[in-house]
Amino acid sequence: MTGRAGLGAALALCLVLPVLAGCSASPAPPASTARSTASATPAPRVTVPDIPRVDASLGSLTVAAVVAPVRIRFDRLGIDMRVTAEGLDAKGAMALPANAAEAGWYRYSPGLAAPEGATVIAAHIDSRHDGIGPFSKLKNATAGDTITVYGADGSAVDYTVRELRQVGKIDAPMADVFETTGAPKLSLVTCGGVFNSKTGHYLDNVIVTATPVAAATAGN
Amino acid sequence: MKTRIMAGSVAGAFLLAALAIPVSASAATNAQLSVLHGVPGVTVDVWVNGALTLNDFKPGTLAGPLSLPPATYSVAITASDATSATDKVVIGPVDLSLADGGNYTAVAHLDPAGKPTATLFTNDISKTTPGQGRLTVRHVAAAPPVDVLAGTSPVIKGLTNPKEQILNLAPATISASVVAAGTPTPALIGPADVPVVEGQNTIVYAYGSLADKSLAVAVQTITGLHTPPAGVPGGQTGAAARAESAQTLSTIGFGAFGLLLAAAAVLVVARRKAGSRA
Repeated sequence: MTGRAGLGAALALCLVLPVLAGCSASPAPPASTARSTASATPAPRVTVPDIPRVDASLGSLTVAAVVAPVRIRFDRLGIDMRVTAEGLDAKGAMALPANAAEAGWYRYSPGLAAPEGATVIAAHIDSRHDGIGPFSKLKNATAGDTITVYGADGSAVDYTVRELRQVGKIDAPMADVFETTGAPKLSLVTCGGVFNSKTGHYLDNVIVTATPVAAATAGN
Repeated sequence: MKTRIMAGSVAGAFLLAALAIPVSASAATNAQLSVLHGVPGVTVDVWVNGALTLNDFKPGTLAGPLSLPPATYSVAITASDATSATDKVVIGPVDLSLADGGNYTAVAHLDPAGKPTATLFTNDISKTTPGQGRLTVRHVAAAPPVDVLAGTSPVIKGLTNPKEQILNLAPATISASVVAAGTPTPALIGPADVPVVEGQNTIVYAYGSLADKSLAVAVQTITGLHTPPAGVPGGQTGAAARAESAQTLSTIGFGAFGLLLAAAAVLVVARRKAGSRA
């Protein structure tokens, strides 16, 4: 970020103050002096700013393969659930499997082992279909707990729980939970707190944040 | 009445201006400028305000983004062996006006008749709606108006050089082809797989020349436009909450119940006493 800004500032300086920066190409009198120097020096061209260039051909676009999570295990809490890919509901909220016994992976969030961003897995704490679900135990998560998520390609990624939060839904940090940049992490989400029987919704979200265990242990 | 409304809105405008000026003055955000070379067969130099900025710039290459203070810049595109911005000029000079915080792509390309020209496009960097990606298609080729097909169905119709069309779509890989407007075949370009990615603007350029059989596709992506879902409604019945409070009651419930009974007894006794006095 600062690097880019720095480059921009340097470039801007060069563009705005071409004479000072020594990148003038005016054909007026100064040019004759420039030409005479050029004859003495083998390189007649000024230094060109180092601007990144990429091949813009369609073939150069690499779309990283996304590994969809298919199962999550949180052994200390006795959680072992199937995970399905889910999108959005009619209100623009994340859609969840009807059964509380199953978890949903937000299909537009990074997959397993993605280089950055949050892999988001959520489930109902309770549902009309099958009652109270395993994610009701998420509120007992403790920093240091291990979670394993299995991918559709047979891979498995271990995570260490970093944080448990219970936040009012109005203040729920969705941008943070569904972050698409930054260090890779796992966001687990369910509901919690007081149930408003009039609206049929819980007032809080329970959010567990976990980070991948160092790659060194992933040799098995 | 009319004058009063006018006065009100004028005052409002002043207020807005008063509010807006300090903000824009203090938060002068640099503009982002990318440069795409879409003139086949010519390696060029790009000069900005007279300074050589891109040396030996090859067709089909995207440079940048450059972070530039908002201003108007004079851009000239010359042959790659030019000695100044006014020597062996291929395109320009053109004035590019970059606004505060804007995101632009300047494209060197052919006009419909095949003459080199430059167009400054403003890239749509507004946030995408949750679960959507954006596809921008720009016609910068020496070719007649075109349709863009996704599979076999036209998703963009009658696009002319140098116009663009923007679609907001569910993420998918689209098998896209470009045909002359109003015709289903033959494909002038493609079919080619174009990825529409959540929170990303995929900008596709059709460039080159139909007559010279040099039509091609260039692509640029702008990430970071993602919007998270509106929420996670993770419960339906309240059963978990009831189970939890039931569990809580079972541990402290008897104590509380005992206290309630005692309080009731005290009340009853007090009332009786009051009653006997009357």
